Amino acid sequence: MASVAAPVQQEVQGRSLWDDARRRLFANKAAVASMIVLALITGLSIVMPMMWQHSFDDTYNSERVSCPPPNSLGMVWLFGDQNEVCPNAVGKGHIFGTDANGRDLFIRVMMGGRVSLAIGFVATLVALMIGVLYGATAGFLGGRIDNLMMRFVDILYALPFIFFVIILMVVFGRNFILMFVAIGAVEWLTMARIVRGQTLSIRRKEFIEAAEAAGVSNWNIIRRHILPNVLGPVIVYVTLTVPAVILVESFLSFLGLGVQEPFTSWGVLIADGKDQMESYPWMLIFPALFMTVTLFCFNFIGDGLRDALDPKDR
Amino acid sequence: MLRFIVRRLLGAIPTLFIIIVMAFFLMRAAPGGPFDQERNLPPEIERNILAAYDLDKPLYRQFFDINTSVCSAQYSGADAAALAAQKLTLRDGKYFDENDRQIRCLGGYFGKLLGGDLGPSYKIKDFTVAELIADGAPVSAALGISAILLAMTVGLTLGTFAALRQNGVGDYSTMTLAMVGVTIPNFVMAPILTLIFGNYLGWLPVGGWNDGAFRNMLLPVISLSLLQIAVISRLTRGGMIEVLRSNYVRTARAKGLPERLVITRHAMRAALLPLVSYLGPATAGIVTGSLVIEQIFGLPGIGKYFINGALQRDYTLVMGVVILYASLVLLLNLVADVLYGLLDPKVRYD
Repeated sequence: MASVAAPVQQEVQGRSLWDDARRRLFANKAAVASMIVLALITGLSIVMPMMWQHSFDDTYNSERVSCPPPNSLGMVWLFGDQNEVCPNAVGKGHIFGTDANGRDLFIRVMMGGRVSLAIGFVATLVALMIGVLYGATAGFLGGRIDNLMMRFVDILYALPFIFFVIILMVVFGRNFILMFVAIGAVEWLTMARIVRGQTLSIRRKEFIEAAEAAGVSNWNIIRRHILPNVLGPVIVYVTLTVPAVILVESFLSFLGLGVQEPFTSWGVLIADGKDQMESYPWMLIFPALFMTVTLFCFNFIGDGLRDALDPKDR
Repeated sequence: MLRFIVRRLLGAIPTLFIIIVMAFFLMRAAPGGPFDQERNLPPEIERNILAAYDLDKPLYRQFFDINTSVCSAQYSGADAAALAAQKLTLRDGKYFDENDRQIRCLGGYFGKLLGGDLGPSYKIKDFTVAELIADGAPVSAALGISAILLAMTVGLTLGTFAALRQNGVGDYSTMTLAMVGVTIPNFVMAPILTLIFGNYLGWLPVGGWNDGAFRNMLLPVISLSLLQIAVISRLTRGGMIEVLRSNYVRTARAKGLPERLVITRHAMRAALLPLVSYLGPATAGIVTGSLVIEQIFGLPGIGKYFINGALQRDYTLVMGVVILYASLVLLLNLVADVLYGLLDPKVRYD
C-alpha cells in the first residue's frame, strides 16, 4: 500500500513467496473462518475475566449447587428449567449456568481458555526454540555430529513421554512453569527433525551454490535463502503443535495432575464436568465445546498454512 | 534379517535402561515417600518399615547393589569367612543378614529386576507388583487389542473408500469425520458418548468391566479407537491415492483385472506400508489413551495403578507399569520395522 497516487509507470510487482502464501491462505475459507473464530475465543478469554460481572472464584448461590443456563438459551429440554432448580440464580446472568460449587461457569470457561491457550503458546515457544536450535545446529554441522545428535533424538522418540511428563508433574508438584517446560520438552523432537531435514536439504540445493558462486555472504545466504525455506514447515508445525500441547495439558488436568484450584483450564473443567454430567450436563458441554472448537480452528489453520506454504503445489 | 532383529533388540536394551534409570530417580526425587501418610508411628517402627523396603540405603544402592560375598558364595562355592564377617546366614538357598533381611548377590531395584523380580507394591499391602499387573493386564490387553483391531478394520475400510472416491462427496465426508476424530480428544468423546448412550438413551452401561461383557466393552473400545480410526483412515487414503496412480496399477487395469482384484491384490499391499510404520505410534497412543479411558469407565486395568501409584509414591508399582508399557512400545516399533522389511522389497537390512 505504498502509493495511493497512481504512478505513471506501473512497475511490475514481484510476488514474493510470502505474498503468494498469504493470497492462498486467505482464499481458504475454512482457514479464514478458523482464524476469526480463534481470534474471537482468544480475545474473549483475555478480555472477559476483566469485565464480566462475576469473578471466576466466587460462589454465587448460597446453596452451592449447580444451576442450569437460563431458559433464554432455549435448551430447557436438555438442561432443565432454571426457575425450578435455582430460583435465586435467575436473572444473575449465568449464561452457561454455574458449576457444582455455584461459581459462574461462563467466566470459568473463559479463565480456563486463558490458561489452556497460554500453556499452548508458551510450551510451543519452548519447543520451537529448542527444536530450531537443535535441528539447525545438526543440519548445519552435518556429518558425524549430525548423526550423533539425530541418534539421540531417535532414542528420545522411543520413550513413552507421557509417563515422564506425569512423573514430572508428580515430582515437582503442579507447577505452572514446569508444565510449560515439561510439555515443551516433549514436543521439540519433531520440530528438531523438521528443521534439521529442511536445513540439510536446502544447503545442498543449486540456488545456494549459485548464491555462493555469486559471492553472497554466509549470513545473507542464511537470511535470504535458508531461513525463508525453513520457516514455512516450521510455521505449519507450530500451528499444529499448539493444539497438541493444549491436548497434553488437558489430558494431565483431566487426570488431576494439571492446573490447581481455584485456577482452572479446559481440561480441569471437562474433568469436573465429566464427574457431574449425569445431573449437570452443561458443566461438561460448554468447556468441551470451547476446547473442541479451538482445536478444530488450529487444525484448519495448520492445514491451510500447509497448503499455502508448500511449494510442491505450484 | 535375523541379524537385523537381533541388532535392533540389542539396541532397545540401552533405551529401556535409560527409561528405567530416569523413571527410578525421578520418582525418588519426588517430595514425600510411600509411608508418609502413616503418621504417629514410633520412630523405630518407621525405621523398620524403611529398612524392610530398602528405603534406608543411599539412593544409588537402592537402585543397584552388589554383595560380592553372596555372589561368590552363590556362584563359586561359599567363602565361609567372608560370609561370617558380614554375619550372613544361609536358609533355603537364600542369604539373610543379622536383621533377617534377605541379601542378594545383585541387590537394589535394578538387581532384582535383572532376576525378574518387580518387587512388592509399597501401598497395596500383601501384593507384589507382578501380581497386580497380572491382575490388570487381561483387562488392559482386551481393551487395547480390541481397540487396535477395530481401528484397523474401520480405518482401512474408510480410507480405501475415500481414496476410491477422491474429491467426491464420500471422500469429503469421510475426511471430515477423520478430522473430527483427530481433533476431539478421547477424554471429551468418552463422557459425551456415555452421556448419550448411557444416560439419555440408556442402551449401554456407563462403566464397569463386568468380566468383559460385550456391552461393557463397546463404549470404552470405541472411544479408545476413534483417534486411531481417524489417523489410519487418513494414512490409508494417502497411500491408496498415491498407489492408484502408479504404473503397475495401470498395468493391472490394462490387462483387464477386475477392479476389486486390482484394489485388494495390488493396490492394498503397497498402501498398507505407511500403516505398518504407524504401528509403533499407534501402540503408544492406545497405551496413553487407556490411562484416561480406564479411569472414565472405571475399568480394572493397569492404567489406574500408574496414576494412583505416582500420586501415592508407590515407587515399585509405577516402575513396573512404566517398564511394561515402555517394553511394549519398543517391541511394537521393532515388529513394525520387521514387517516393513517383509512387505517392502526395497528395504534392505545390512
